[in-house]
Amino acid sequence: MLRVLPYLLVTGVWAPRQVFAQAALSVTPAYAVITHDRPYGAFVLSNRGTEGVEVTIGAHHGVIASTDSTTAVVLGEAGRLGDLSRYLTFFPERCILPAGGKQTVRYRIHEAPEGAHITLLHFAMQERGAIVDGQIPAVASGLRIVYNLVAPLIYLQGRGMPVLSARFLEGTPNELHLYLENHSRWPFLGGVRVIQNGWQLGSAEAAVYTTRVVRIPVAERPLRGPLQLKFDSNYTGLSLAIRHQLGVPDPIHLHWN
Amino acid sequence: MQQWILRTVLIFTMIRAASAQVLMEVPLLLEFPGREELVRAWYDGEAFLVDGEELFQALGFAVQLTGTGLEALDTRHRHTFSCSNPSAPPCRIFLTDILDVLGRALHFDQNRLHLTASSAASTFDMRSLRARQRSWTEVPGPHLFGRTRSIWGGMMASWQLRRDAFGVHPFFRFTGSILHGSVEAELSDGASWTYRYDRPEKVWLTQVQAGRNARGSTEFAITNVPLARRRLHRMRYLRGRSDPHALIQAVIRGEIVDQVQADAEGHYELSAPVWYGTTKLELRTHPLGGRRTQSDPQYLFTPTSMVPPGKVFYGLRIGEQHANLHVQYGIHPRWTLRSALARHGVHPEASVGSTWSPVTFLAVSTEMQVLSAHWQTGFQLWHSGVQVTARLNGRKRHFQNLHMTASAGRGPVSALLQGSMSSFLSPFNERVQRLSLHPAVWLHHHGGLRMQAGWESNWLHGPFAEAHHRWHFGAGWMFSRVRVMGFATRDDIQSAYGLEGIFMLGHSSLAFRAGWDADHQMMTGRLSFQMSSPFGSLSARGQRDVRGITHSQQIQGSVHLWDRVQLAPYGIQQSAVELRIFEDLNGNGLQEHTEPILPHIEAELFQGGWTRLRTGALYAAHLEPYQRYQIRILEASIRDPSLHPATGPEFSFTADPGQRKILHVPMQRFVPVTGMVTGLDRTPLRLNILLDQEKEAEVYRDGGFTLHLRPGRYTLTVVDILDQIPLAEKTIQVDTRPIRVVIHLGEDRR
Repeated sequence: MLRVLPYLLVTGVWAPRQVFAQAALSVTPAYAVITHDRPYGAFVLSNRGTEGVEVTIGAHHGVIASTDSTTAVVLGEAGRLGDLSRYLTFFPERCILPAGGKQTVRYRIHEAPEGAHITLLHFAMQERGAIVDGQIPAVASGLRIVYNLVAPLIYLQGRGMPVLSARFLEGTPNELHLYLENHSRWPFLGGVRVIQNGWQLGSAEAAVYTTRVVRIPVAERPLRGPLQLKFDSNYTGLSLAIRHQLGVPDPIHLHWN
Repeated sequence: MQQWILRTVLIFTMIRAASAQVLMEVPLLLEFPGREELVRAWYDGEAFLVDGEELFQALGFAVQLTGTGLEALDTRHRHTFSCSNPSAPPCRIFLTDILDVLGRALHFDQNRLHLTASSAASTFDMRSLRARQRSWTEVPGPHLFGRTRSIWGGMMASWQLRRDAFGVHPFFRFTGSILHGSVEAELSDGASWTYRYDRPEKVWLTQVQAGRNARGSTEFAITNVPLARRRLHRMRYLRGRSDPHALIQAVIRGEIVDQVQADAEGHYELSAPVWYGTTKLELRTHPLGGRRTQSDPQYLFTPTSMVPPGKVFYGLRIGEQHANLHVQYGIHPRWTLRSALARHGVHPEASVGSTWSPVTFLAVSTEMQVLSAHWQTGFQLWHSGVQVTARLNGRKRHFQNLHMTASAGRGPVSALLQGSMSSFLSPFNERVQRLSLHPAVWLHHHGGLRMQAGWESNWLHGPFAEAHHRWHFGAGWMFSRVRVMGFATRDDIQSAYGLEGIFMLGHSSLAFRAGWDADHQMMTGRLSFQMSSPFGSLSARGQRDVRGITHSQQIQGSVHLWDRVQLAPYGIQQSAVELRIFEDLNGNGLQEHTEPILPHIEAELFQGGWTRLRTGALYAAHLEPYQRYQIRILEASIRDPSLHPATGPEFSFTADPGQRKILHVPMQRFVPVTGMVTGLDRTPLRLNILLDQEKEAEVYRDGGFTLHLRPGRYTLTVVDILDQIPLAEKTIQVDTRPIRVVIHLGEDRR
């Protein structure tokens, strides 16, 4: 036991000193919808962590879309929505954020044609870490983990109306999984309500650019029979003017087996 | 033999002397919050020595070299060190000696050759280091935003014409900056003028004043009292506990004066400067994990009668009929002695007194006049939004007057209680006592309901006992452009009921007050109108007094003649600032006629609010002279991503007394320069890019870097931040299009 004691002491002293710094990047707002009346805006990057971070910012044509099983970022394809990245300028393209630091990323849209357009602003983050004198360059550049954040930027010019179709994927006593598909050139951002026999079973918010699986919490499993999906324009963070411009699709009638 | 001994001794001495000089010079990285600096240091194989002059100057001390050592001085400290070899400059001091004296304020990492200054250091003035750091960024662009002095400038003539029952009264006032000082002249019933020369940075003479008052008496005055809040009084150390690893910030007037990361147990220690008067300190806690930031306001109160320890403040005023000299001396951070000598005509007077502040939010002052035996004492308390002030005076053992004011506020509700008690001899030589109480309550929401209620009672005790009561009540609603309030008031002469309000439309406003005097059965009221345009403004006011006895009409206005001279309304001599954010098309930093103000860009003025002028500029008035204000350009409001403020998004300026200061913020279009450092032989995180020998950008992990430059020719230097060795250099030419640069450490080596 006496032989073990020094090791225990060393371990006891050493363990609390192993405090690792880490970066924690956040982007606000999480998405942005802008119109022809005000074709500019800004995202704010904040590093609330305890270590510096370097961020590379890019804009890619793409959407957040779902298959039956997953929801993921899809690049190079955005259904019938236009590519906004070719009309977009933003600043800066790279930045270094110290711990506690903030950076405003400003953007502006130049002469985009009529319709709805989307781009994904991509924030690729790498921790900067402490400078170690004896670090080998190859190892330093090899040991890196890139964290990615994506914020959709949607630009609306003119009027449009989303056209949606829906089907149920599965249901649990607490949740219904709904697959929504957008067939129009106009995105849908708003609320989805599930109604049966005049009673609202549950509701959720959804952004449907092409396809999207929406999980709707419900109080109880629906009864076998007809169901109605109603849509509204209530989506967190949208102004009233944008809600009016986005529009609300017609209700959809489904059958629950 | 003697020669051999002599040679041996000589060689031994030479070897000793030579070995004593074998010191390896090493660069020591000194780091304090927000800044890094290299200082010279040496290693003799056993101990480290550092260049004392360089180190202490970097730490904000004034350094005096004595014969064998060095003295480091600032406003609160004096440290003495001896040089290791006084005969061979520079003065090298053993680092262990410095660490012994400065204690935990410095941490020395021998392996990294890194000297870190604690942000909570008490053995040197960390705040002044930060202030100096800010002052470097105070001159951000082509314009100096410090105090402006001019031989001839800032002229303003104010006028007012008033007619009442006693006739027509013209007022004329002139202010301006002449011979690097400020001058103020007034012409109404009598003529008066004052010339003031301020030296706010100086210690022994901060202001000289000469003038003539309205009674025709000439005066001359000098003082070294700090002007406004320019001078710091003391540092306050704040210790506390929060969530583990939370970011804690001390914020004063919107400016972060200190920030630390709490340790694993949540303990933290911050320092914050405290100025004269009330310093509002906000303690912000940012917990990790994105939880909501908490804010805890604190009020630090330092009465203006307190003098920093060891300092002497004086004021000397000499006139034709009188002269007086005031001297104050701080013998302790919480105790100040005062004395005064005065002469009024042929009557001399002397007084002594002191101010004592036993705890931060309480101050007690006393003063005694030696010859006349008059005394007065004061009491001030400020804590948790409650302020109490009381003054008591008398002669010998007789009490004469007591004045007391107490106020408290919480949210939209605030309450005030004023009271006084006097004892005096009536014309019939009887002692009479008078007691007055005046409570009042306000309810003021930021938008919406407003309510005011007040009561005043006066009692006279003695042979002619009397009691008088007054009350006032008002309630109304405040909209964005209209404020309307109904009122009812009752005093000894009349009862009046009515409505008052203000309508605002653009830059014009109409204010009215209409009431019915129930006792005199007549209408009373007041109407005022104000309008402004780029060419001038006009304000007119007519009033029929609520007591139905007097009536008056008044008109005042301004005419803008040209930029430097304007005729402005009477009473607008306060310090103000006008912020002109414009697109600098030709990049010269000056606003031309073809370079318009960008009216959509918003800016934040800490401790102040803006008004948007019709020209698109932002305007803020009622600033405190000599106070440094921070401005932040809100980047999100800049529509064009390629436009950048040449001043940087944040900068500060110093408000000038009695002048409207115009700040130009050129918005310039920068060209992006992206680059890559190749041929790396060390980690890219160690590399910085210097632009014409000034630090400009850090290098990313992949060797890339980005710069945003105005068109021109630049030299880029790659430097290792650890050893400060320039590794490579490249000259680039930037025109209007983005460019890409590759710097190879091997091929572009200097």
